[in-house]
Amino acid sequence: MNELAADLGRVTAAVQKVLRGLSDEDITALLAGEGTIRFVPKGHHVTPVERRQRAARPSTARASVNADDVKAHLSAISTEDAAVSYLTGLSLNAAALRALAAELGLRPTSSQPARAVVADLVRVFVSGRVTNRAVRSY
Amino acid sequence: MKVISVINYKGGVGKTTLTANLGAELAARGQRVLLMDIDPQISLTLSFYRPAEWQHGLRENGTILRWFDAVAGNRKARLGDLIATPPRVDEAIGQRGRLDLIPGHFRLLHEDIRQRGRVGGARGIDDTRRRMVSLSRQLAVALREPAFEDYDVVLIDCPPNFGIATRMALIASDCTVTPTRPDYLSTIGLRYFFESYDRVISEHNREILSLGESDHDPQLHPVFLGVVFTMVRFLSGQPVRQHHMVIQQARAEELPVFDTVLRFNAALYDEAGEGGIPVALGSGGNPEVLANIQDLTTEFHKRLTNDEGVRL
Repeated sequence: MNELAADLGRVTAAVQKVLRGLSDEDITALLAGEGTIRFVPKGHHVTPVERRQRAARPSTARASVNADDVKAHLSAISTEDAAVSYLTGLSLNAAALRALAAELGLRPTSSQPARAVVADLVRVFVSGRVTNRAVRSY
Repeated sequence: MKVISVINYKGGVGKTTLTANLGAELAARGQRVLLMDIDPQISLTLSFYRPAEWQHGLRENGTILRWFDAVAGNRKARLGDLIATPPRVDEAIGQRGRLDLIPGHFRLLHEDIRQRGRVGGARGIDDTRRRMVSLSRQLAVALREPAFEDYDVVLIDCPPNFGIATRMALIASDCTVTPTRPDYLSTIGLRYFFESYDRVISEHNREILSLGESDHDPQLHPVFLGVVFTMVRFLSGQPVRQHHMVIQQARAEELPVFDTVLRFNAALYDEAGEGGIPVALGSGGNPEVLANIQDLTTEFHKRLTNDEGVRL
């Protein structure tokens, strides 16, 4: 029991050392859910998700579309499901979707998966209108 | 003189903080600014006066309640008599500009029922409409008193509703600005708010026309200057993704949105007002916070001067 308590003390000290090394921005990101603290065993290193996915399965999807066209199309769509179908139907790979989102003023993360980028695009360009229609038709 | 209502019918969105700091920064730039507190929470008043100062120096006869009392009793009262100069702010601004305040009162909470009682005693529909128009424009009429001639800007801190006091403020205003937090629930009603505002003005214009009083009181076409996002959290010099998404969503709605956002800062939002001096004038304040308020004030002034926004 005393040995376990001593180990816990050392673990806590190690965690505190990591926390002290974080910048204010790291802590803000951590609290906002935009970062995590992980245990990485000695001899291992962290590989970004995007790089792993790229190595695993090269994409054959389209590389780009016209952002203004996509925005105009999304602005004319009245349901979120239809918007998801439209965006999925563009057959863009994750990188192309991220580029599209960035061009439309969103800030996709470098490893954001395609499905999450589509969800963000739908949220910004369609969900607001759907919500407003709902609260206005009281 | 430009009259601007600061309004959102959702509470806790930074309305008072925005009003106090815009006013203080404009005054520090040499403008003559009057703030008016018509929100029964009187947060704006208590940002400049300690509760005991309000109790002993203002509560009985020195708040806007006195003017509302006169309006309800159909008596004459000069709104200009209620102008106060908060001493600590006055000292901080010095000779640069001027910042005055018409203080608020907690009892404004019951104003809606009292004022509507006046309209309720009308004889027939035309009389009701005439009384409603007359009541709604009382503040606009009061602001024509000579006491207000010297002000460049009047900022009205409105209550978070569309009651009679808000209606009076909107009808007296050349412009409105709407602060909001960048979260789902705070932004959900932005469009509805805008439509409600539009409806108040349209109804007023229609009544004036139908009552044949348009010569006496011209049609109103105020400008909605835009939405100011407040309490925005930043990371690496940019709004965090979650807040950025909400801001982009509002822009996609094609409502005017200020380019400058008010950054979240505990000193600005949690401790504001305790010292009787807004953050904009605080000595030794955080330079980033001060720069943020200055940027917002510059954009506000530019929009105000150019009537940028949506004209109703």
